[in-house]
Amino acid sequence: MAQNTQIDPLTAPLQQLQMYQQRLQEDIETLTTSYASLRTVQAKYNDCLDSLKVITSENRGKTVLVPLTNSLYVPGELSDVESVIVDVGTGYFVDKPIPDAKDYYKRKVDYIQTNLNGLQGTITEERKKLTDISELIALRVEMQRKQAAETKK
Amino acid sequence: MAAAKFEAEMQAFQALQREFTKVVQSRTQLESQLKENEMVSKEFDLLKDDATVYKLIGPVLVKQDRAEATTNVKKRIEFITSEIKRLEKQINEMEEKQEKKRSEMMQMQQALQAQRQQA
Repeated sequence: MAQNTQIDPLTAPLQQLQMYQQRLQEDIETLTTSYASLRTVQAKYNDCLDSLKVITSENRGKTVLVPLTNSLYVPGELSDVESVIVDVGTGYFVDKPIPDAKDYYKRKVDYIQTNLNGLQGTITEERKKLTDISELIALRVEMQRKQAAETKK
Repeated sequence: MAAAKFEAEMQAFQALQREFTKVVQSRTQLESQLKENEMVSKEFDLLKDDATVYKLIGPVLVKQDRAEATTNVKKRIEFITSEIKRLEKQINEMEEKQEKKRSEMMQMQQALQAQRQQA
């Protein structure tokens, strides 16, 4: 993360400002990538929630197609509508009643949402910093150009 | 002569930087592992007493003793935390080393420039 050092915007070496600008750009890039991957994970959890909605007692005994791979399905019968097995991470799975499983996924989605909100705030802040520094650099370049023209006269 | 020495210093400095990036990367990885384990631990705490825990071993789910699984995850968290602490110390040391090298190189470069101007 780019650190904030107190510098005089009009006398600091241009090179230093450009380095700061570049670092900000890199930071923003990393942050937006994380934002996107969090979004993907959140969508996955939401998919799980949607899938759970179908496992109801009315659907007991109905035929379902079970995916063995992405493209291979076998017919199966929905026999257990009481509980599901949930992946809780690091290779551990837990047998959960449907309401608990829904609760679990809702918690995950909410947790990611708070992270997303925080991240969004940081990204906005960093973007603002980047605009500021870019403007400053443009101003400094302009100043330099004028100065060079003056000395030529 | 001095230029060759400077070149060697430069290479040493770059090697330091590479190693530094590697250590920082492993710390990042450990941190995400720690996060995952903490989530699992939290989840275990929320479980009802009669809940069944499985562990994925290869392609099969194997029933696990719940108490054992809980202590297992706790132990992992402890281990990862101490690993992170160790790496953190290493990172600090490496930062100092790099800083020292950097200022050394600056001095060498200045000396080199002064020499050139005299010649």
